[in-house]
Amino acid sequence: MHSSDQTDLASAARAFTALILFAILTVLVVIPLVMVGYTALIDVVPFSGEGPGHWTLDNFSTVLSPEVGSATVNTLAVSFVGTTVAMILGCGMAWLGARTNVPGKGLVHLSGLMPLFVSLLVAAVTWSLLGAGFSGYLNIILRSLGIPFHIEIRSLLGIAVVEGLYNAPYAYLFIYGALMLVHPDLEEAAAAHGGSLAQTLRMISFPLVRPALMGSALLIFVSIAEDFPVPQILGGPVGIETLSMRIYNMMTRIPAHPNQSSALSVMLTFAVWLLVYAQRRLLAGHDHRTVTGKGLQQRIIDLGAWRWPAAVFVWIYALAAVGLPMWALLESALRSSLFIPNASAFFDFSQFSLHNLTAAAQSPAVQEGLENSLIAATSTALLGGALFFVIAYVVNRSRVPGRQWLEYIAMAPLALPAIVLALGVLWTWVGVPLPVYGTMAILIIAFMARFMPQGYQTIAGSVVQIHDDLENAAFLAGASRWQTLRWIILPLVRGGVIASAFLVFVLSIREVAASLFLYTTHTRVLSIVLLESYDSGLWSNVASISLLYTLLLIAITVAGRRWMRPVI
Amino acid sequence: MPRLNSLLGALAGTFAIALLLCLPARAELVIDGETITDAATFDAAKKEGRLLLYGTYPGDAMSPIIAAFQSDTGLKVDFVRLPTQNMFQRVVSEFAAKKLEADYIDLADLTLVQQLIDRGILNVPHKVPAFDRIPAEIKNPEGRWYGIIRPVSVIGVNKSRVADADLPKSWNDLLGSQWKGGLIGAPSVDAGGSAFTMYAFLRTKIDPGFWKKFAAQAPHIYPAISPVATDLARGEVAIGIGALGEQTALQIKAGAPLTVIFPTEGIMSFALGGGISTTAKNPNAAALFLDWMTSRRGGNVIAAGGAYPANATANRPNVGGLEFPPADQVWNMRIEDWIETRDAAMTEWRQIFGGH
Repeated sequence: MHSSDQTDLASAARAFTALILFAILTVLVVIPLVMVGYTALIDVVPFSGEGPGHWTLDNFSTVLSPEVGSATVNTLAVSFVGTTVAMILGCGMAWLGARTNVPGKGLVHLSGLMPLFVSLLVAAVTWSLLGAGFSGYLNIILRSLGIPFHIEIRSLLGIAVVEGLYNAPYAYLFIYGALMLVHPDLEEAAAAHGGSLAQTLRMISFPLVRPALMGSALLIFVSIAEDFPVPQILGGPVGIETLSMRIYNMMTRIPAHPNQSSALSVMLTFAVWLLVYAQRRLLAGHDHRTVTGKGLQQRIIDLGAWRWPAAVFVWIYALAAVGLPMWALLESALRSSLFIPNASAFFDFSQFSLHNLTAAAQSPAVQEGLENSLIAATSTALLGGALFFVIAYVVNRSRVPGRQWLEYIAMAPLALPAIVLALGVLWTWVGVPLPVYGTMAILIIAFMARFMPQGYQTIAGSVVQIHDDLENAAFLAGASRWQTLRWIILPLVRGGVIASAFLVFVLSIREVAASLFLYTTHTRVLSIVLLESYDSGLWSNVASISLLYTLLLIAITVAGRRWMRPVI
Repeated sequence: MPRLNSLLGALAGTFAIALLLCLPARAELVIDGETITDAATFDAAKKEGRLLLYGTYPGDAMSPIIAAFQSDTGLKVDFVRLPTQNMFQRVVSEFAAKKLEADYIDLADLTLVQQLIDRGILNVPHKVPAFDRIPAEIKNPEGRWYGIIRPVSVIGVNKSRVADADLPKSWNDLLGSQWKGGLIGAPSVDAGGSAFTMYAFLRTKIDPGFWKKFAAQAPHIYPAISPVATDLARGEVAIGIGALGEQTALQIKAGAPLTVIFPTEGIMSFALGGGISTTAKNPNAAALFLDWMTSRRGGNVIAAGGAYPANATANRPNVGGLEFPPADQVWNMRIEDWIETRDAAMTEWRQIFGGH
């Protein structure tokens, strides 16, 4: 074959690959986003049989009501305080785990990661059990002890603290990873020149981990701002509304306002996008690399008298994030009455029975929900893992035209609140004459779009690490692109692909908001079965399902712990 | 003897076949002497064999009703359950996309039921055999929809927080100064049809100034009804109002110190309006379902779950020993009044009680 023919063929293949990938990403991400934008700009609901409607900007002006104002203030307050709490906890734990001689390092690591695998929906349910003003378990104990103080978790501060507790692992992962990479020579040099511990931390360690700090803070801020289950369960009953709740309420209350809800979604997405953009700009242009070819031996700081107080800090965090909630779930799942007169009733074993737990485990709705969750999560992980790998490979290892745009689109859902994405997916598929709408397929499509940034970045991280030389050597030896991929790249990135698929699997099992507008009776996932139980007020059922749900997530985490790596 | 046995067996078999052949090919569905549906409908429904319901009544409350219907008729039922507004949007979208497969649809808001009729989605007039035993305000004159299930709003009290002597007996008792400051939990008017009809009842039947007086009590306003019931059971509020009879009855059974009060001035129900879908693939099965739901037999099953049925001759609800008032003492809002007053009333409610 003539060499110019070969070049033509190769560029045709590249163009074809690009076309396919763009088509897939357009269907998964771009069209849903466009549908939300389109709905925000017209005066009828898509596919409502109300005709094409007219273009209008009124949705943007009418949506700006006092309620949206207070929802914005609430969202900002919860996100800001929640991020602060998460950063203090996560950074503190990471520093203790990476750099000090705190007793029980295994527990530090476990407590740092475990809350990541607790569903936020379950976390909200358990903290409502523990911390409601009058009937919260902790308040019943305080009252029985005669302590004239009570906590109110169903408040703005309460929501922020719960968000902080369960988002802290993101900070832990980022900061722990960064601290392990800071070269100890830098800190030792500071110490040798007479710098105190505080000075060294402030002037050397902190600036070096600044990108990790900012990256995790932003990620946490955005996740809290778009979160639905925690504010819905803790804020809903006391009249606190955040922006994601507002979007949901405008869609589901009567009369519904889908056009205004879309307008609000567009504004929220734009605000989140601005934040992400600002962070990229702030971090751009600085070289924070301190990793060299030389091995690192981390310096361990002796905490001296502070060793045990530091350990207590870790224990309290583990207790608040995992211990107390598990106790509350067990207590609530084992008893049928919601009413608890005093602290001694917690130990009144005559009230306990396994009835609710066994009923929940045997309930067809729970079993079907579990099955659907596993189907959705497995499909998303497999299809997503394959797609994310191809995108990562094309973006980082090819000359396919427009490959940078593939990355931008793959990362876009990070700035798209799950509830908005679900709306877009709904309107994209309802009018398509394919059997997608109302089936499991639509959930899988939504999950793939929702977790594309996390899945893509995990794989991209491993693809980037592979040096060009390996591929070039293969090419020189006469290997084709496919052979290189099959025998060089795939074996090397296998770990990254599995880690990505595993992460997407766990995140899909946990997901609530993306399923909200897309499920039907026979495609309910476990989180939706749980939310419906909550909506019907069946709390012993809620606690039982939550307990089973949490045990499932813990089992998955333990089974897959070797694939867990710092992500996003 | 073996030959005699086989002869007898053959005779018996012939007799059985003859008996089957003599039976009318088509029979009405009759239960306890009540004709639920005519022979033609029952026969056609059995040929269709299955039924797809799009409903809004909570799954755990609906499943005993579906189970009884299946065992009475032999039909196979699929039930898709969504909250009212989601269901409305789904039905409307599927109809526009020509993909609506439901045979039967119900919504917990009659204004939206009327919209489905106006859009030609619920447009199959069907007069059920029990038509004359259903109050006029909970049926369409041509039989396009029926108020098949009617939950009621009541007052619930947590007795760990209220002494027996202080138990409220009427809606007006809730305006006493001892209940000021977040002691009463109530749903927002946005919580759905049950909340809307309750507030409409309180204003039109109890006192035109009731909303303002009640708002002055600074009640704890919840976005939905189930958190009112939950907080009442936990003792987070002392009194709760709304459609919480069934959940409260369950908690009483479980040992919570609760009681349900049917106020002396009366109670109101709100109707889940259901009818046959224009695009039904199994229209006879849907007609049979409406016939059954509005029959005395179906009504008794519904009442056992804690809501009033459409059929006035059926039992009144009785859950966990709570005896509900007779059906003729329960106020129902007319669909015309609902449609006419909804938007203005909701705006006014929000002004009086604050955003929510």
